Amino acid sequence: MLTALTMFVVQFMSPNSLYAQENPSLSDAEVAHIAVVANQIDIYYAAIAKDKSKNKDVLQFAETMANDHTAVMAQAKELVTKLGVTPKDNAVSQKLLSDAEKTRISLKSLPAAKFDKAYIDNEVGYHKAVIAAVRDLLIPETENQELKELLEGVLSALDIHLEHALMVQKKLS
Amino acid sequence: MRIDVLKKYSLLYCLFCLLAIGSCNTTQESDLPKEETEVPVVTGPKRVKVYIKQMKYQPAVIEVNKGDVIVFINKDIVVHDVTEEATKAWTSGPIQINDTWTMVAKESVNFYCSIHVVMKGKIIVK
Repeated sequence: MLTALTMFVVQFMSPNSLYAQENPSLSDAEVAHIAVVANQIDIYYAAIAKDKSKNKDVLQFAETMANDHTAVMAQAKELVTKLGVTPKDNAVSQKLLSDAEKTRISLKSLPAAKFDKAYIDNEVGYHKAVIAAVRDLLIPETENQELKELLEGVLSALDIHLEHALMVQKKLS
Repeated sequence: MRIDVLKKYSLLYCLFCLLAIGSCNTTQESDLPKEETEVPVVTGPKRVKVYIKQMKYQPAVIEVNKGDVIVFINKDIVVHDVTEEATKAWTSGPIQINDTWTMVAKESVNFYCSIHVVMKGKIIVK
C-alpha cells in the first residue's frame, strides 16, 4: 500500500507519466477528499491496534493517532463547509482506500505476537508516504490559502507522528 | 481677599501632604531591615508566553526567574499537554486548541508533551 501511494505520487510528479498528461491537476475539492480519506485510514488502523495490542507504547501511539487524525478531519470538514467546497472522490482517494483495505485485513488476521511490529512498521511507512503526498502533491496543488495552511499544519503533525512511530519501532526491535 | 484664602488653604494642603508622605516613609523604613531598604528597584514576577504551534513549544527553552509566570498557549491543530519529563511529577492535563495553561516557575526542569512524546522543552530558572 505504501509503495503504491509513493509510486502514485512519483507518477503524478513525473511530467512524462500518463497520469500527468491526462490529469494535470487536482481541484481543491479533490485535495480535501484525499485529506479526509488519508486521516480516516489511520483512524481505522488505530482502532485495530487498540483492539489487538497489549503494549503500552503501541496503545499510547494508537490513541494519539486516533485523536489527532479525528481533530484534523473535524477541522478539514469545518473549513470546506466554510469555503462551500464539497470534497470530491478521485483516483488518489480510491487508490488509498483500496490499498488500506488490504492492509486492514492483513493487520486484523495477524496473531497478537506479530501484530505490534507489523502495525508500527506500517505506521512508519504510511506516514512517510503521506508526508511525501501532502508535501509534494497536495500542498502544491491547493489553490485556497486557508486549505493550504491547514495542510501545512497537518504536515508538521505528520512529521511528529513519524518521529513518534520510529521511536516506538526502535523500542520494539 | 478670596485669592488669599485659596492660597492659605493650598499651603495648608501641601503641608499636610508632605507630612503624610514623610510619615509613610518613616513607617516603612522602621519596619524593614536596613539592607532591604537599600535595594533601589523591586520588580514583580514576569509573564512569559510560550506558544504551542506546528508541533513545537515556541520557544522550547524558556529562561525565567523563580516565581515568574509561564503561560502556554495552544495555537496548534491538535491537543497538547505540558508534563514534567523525569518522573511526571506534574502535568497540565490536555490543553485544548486555543486554550491556555499557566504555571509558576519554581525550578529548572525538562518537560515534554505526553501525547506527542517526542515534543520537548526546558525551563531554566536563572
